[in-house]
Amino acid sequence: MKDTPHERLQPIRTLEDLARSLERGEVDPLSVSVHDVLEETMHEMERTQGMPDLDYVGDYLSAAGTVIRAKSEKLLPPDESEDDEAEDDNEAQGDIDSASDCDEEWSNEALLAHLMEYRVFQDAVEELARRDEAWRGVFPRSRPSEINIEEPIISTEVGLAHLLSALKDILEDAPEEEFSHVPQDELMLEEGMGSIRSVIQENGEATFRELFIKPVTRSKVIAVFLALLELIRLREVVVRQNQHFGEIIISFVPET
Amino acid sequence: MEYSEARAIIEALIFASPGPLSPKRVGEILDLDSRTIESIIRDIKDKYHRDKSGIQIVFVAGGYEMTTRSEYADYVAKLNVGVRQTLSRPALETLAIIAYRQPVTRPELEKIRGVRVDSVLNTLMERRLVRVSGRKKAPGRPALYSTTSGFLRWFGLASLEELPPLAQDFDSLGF
Repeated sequence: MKDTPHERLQPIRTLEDLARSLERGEVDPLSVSVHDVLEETMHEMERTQGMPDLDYVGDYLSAAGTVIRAKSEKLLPPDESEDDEAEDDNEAQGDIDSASDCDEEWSNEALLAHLMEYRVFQDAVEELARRDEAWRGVFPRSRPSEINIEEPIISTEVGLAHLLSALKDILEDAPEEEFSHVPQDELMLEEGMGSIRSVIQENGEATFRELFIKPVTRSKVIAVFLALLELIRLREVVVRQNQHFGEIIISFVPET
Repeated sequence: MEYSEARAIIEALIFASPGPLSPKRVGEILDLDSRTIESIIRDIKDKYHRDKSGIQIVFVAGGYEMTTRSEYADYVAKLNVGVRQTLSRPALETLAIIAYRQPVTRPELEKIRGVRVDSVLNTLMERRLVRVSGRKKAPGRPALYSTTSGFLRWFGLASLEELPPLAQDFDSLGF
């Protein structure tokens, strides 16, 4: 094993930073100190304790993991099936141009391909970040629901109380269940969302009652109802009433 | 119809429109060809500019829309009109990938970003920047995600074509 002094690690924030370090040949997998990576990571975790942004922390850990994985792969004995010539070439050239053959060192193609694909989007990300900031201070005359963050989730005409009372009617019609065994239905929410989508897709909209034609048991009714709430929360569907005490109608959120 | 009248009507239409008003829609209402409409709107925009108005007309998501000028953002914000938060880096990255690769499934997004995106995706859906546009014809029928017109308005983009072109080849990335 090479006797390289351990390089002091640059703080790694995202895969992007890692890619840059790669590009400049700053990080040789063998010279990365696992201890440093862990120390930096712990330090970063402590720093963010006040404002834990899980996405940020996740990205950070992912980057740290990538570096450590690269090192661990380098430490393993080379695969017999790997290209012997490339290995010999590296031996012959020695350390003279260690910086320039950094790409060779990193011929971990899967990782490189991944970083490539990821990097391709970085210009776009910069552009979006710039526009996000610039357009934050531009207030449109009309504040559409999609921009207004404070928008109530259920449309004003139909409140949760309406939905619950409509649900009660449906439940009263649903037959009692045998409770001799508890059926395992882990995917009921997803299924319910799927079935609501397909009912709406048929006619472009659906009445509240139509959503519950298929489910016959009380637990299925509840599942479909929860699925409806979830779809409302995700703003995939809206509920409305065309008149007081009229049918509750569910439709997809229109694309404006 | 006199020019000044047409100009006043178009100004009123843009003011009252619940979202970006497409030139096509103006044409349907006023029976004018698109070139005339565009030149009239340019005229209105120039007028606002000359008067140093606090209002401007921008072209976003395929239509014209009245907005305040960004110079006065600090004052307008005091109205409590709900100044939005800027998006986090992971959210921007996820959005960028969706914008270029749409319609795209969650596993495809996660493969590129290298991390799970479900919470980010939920945030983007709640802000209506992203929507489920369909289901992929693959096992499990995974949801396909696309950007919305709200996405274009959020970033002040006339259309998706306004995004910078993606770096195509290996060399341009400096590897």
